[in-house]
Amino acid sequence: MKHTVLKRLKNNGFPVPDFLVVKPNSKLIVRSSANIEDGKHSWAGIFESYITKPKEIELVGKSATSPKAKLYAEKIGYKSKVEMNVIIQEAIEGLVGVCFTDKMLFEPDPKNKELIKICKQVEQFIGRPQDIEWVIDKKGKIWILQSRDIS
Amino acid sequence: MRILSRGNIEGEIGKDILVCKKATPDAIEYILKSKAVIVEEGGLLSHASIICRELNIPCVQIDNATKVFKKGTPITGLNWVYGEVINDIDNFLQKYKNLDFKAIESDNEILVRIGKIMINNIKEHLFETNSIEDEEWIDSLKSPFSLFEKAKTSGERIIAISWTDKIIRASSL
Repeated sequence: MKHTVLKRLKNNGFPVPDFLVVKPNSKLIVRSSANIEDGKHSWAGIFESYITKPKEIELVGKSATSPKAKLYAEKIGYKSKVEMNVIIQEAIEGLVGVCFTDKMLFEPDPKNKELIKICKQVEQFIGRPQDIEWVIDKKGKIWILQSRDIS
Repeated sequence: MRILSRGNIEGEIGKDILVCKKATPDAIEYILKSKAVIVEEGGLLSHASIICRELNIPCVQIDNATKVFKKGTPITGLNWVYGEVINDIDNFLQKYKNLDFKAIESDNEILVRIGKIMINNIKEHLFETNSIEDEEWIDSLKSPFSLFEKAKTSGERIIAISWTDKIIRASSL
């Protein structure tokens, strides 16, 4: 699963953005947490928090049974049910790309030594050639968004 | 011109072969229903390329593919040389007359690589194989060039591709 690899990488110091994993039918709560809350004054009930059920979470869930998913499952001979999980993560804007570590191919090629080093380290950590999705944010920081074995 | 997933492309454009501008994740459904894919834009590392390689669906990137390949066009075989679509076979042979070619036969396919013989010689010797020294690859050379001949008479399109600078692939007829 995408998130188990991400969790392993994050726990071992790789630059993975914070995330949480929910089931597709989950409700989320978005809560206030201002700089001055719960200090000398409580500010209790002053700010707002909301419960939300974004339709996108359900849509990710529904994609488990899309025509495309069914066709792919049929082609590879997968007959069990697809159990979907949803990763909730802050969207990072910047240069997004992929890397295949077996040949150290990058698309696009950012010619970034730090990125090359991190991708190689991910491969060494996992122990197999990896297909890595990365992003370099506007401040130049590298983030790993996904890593999977090369199929 | 790049090979994104190896294999022979044979069939009819729009029926067996998907031709599209860019193989986005939305195109994957159509890719899964196709025997082969030709894209105008796209890299080796795109989702579509990954899926194609995983499922052994041949996929190539060819500039202006959507303009070059019209729906219903039959493709006889996927062939060779510098990523060109061969429209005029005589012109093609003329253009590459100074290149050296050599063919190596493997199980079901023929690899033709730039080697010691010149293409105009190959053409000359195509139906006079006795004069070529290295008998091993005489038969292999026949296939791609007889395919040119066949395409010439039938009006079918041949796609020229190579998957390294030097290795050129021909499918046997």
